[in-house]
Amino acid sequence: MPAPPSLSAEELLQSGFRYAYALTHHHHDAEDLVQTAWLKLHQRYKKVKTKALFFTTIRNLYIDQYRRRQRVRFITLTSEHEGLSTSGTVTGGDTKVAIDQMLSKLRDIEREALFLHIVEGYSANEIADMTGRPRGTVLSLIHRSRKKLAALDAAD
Amino acid sequence: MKNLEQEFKNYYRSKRIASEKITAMQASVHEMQRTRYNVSYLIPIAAVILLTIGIGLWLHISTDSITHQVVAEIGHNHRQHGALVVESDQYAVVQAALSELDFPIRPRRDEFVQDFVLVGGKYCTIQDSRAAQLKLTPRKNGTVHTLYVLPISDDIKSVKPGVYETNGIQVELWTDQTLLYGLAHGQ
Repeated sequence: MPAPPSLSAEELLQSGFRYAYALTHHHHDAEDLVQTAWLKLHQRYKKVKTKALFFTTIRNLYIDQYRRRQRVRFITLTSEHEGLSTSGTVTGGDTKVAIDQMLSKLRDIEREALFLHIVEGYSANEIADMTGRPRGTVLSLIHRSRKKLAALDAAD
Repeated sequence: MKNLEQEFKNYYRSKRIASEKITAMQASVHEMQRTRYNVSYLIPIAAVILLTIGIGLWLHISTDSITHQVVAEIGHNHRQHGALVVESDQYAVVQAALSELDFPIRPRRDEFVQDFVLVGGKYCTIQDSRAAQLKLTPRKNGTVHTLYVLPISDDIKSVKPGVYETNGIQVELWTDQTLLYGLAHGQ
């Protein structure tokens, strides 16, 4: 697992937020997760010792609080979303929205695996260690998610 | 796919938590740590207070305990009415007869000597210390009093002077310099 020398509190928080976002795919939920994990770690250890520990805490909280609740969220279609659906093609500033749409069609464990691998640069072994999944499952998740994304991209 | 992965990276890297939120979180952490430090300072103070109370209680109990033991032993000896080694109303005579005692048996309180007439004395032990047991009678009546005199050893140094009662016998304890006195009467 790559261990950066030492990240500032803000860098850790931003990094944790991106991971939480990958799990929840929702801005406010991700903020809540990060805040809870941040306070919990400070309460227990007086500081956030490593990014990996921060991620693990976020992940455990997510499993406890969000997935168990099987929360159903109603997403209001914004003009951006409507534009995407009517235009049929994605260009320039719409790319972000398109990616957002594609990611919303992935399962949380797929987004998580892709995020940890592509954005954070963790290897399959490291992700397996972090998430407690077999390495084969992680590889399969990454592969399947990539294929799904490519298919969604092609469909757009 | 390479481009898509780059877009994926860019997408997540653009996700940022608001700086106000970060400030609020850091403030919460500081507040939490400040509260915890306050509490953590209180823990040793509370421990010291509890320890002091505990030691005080223990000393109180042990002091009470040794006083009670001395009073009980004096009361018990008073009831025995054993034979005297020497009979005399002169402290010097009794002191000479009890030659193994290396402390003065005559109370330093003159009014005590004036109020009581010495009858005689013998050896005894109080809390394993050799003591003088003196038989006295008050000048105003003929009741029997027994005075115990013994050096204050480490074992009995915490005895509390005062007037006590044990099984109907009144025992007055007092100290004078290095000696403990116990006067018993009744029954």
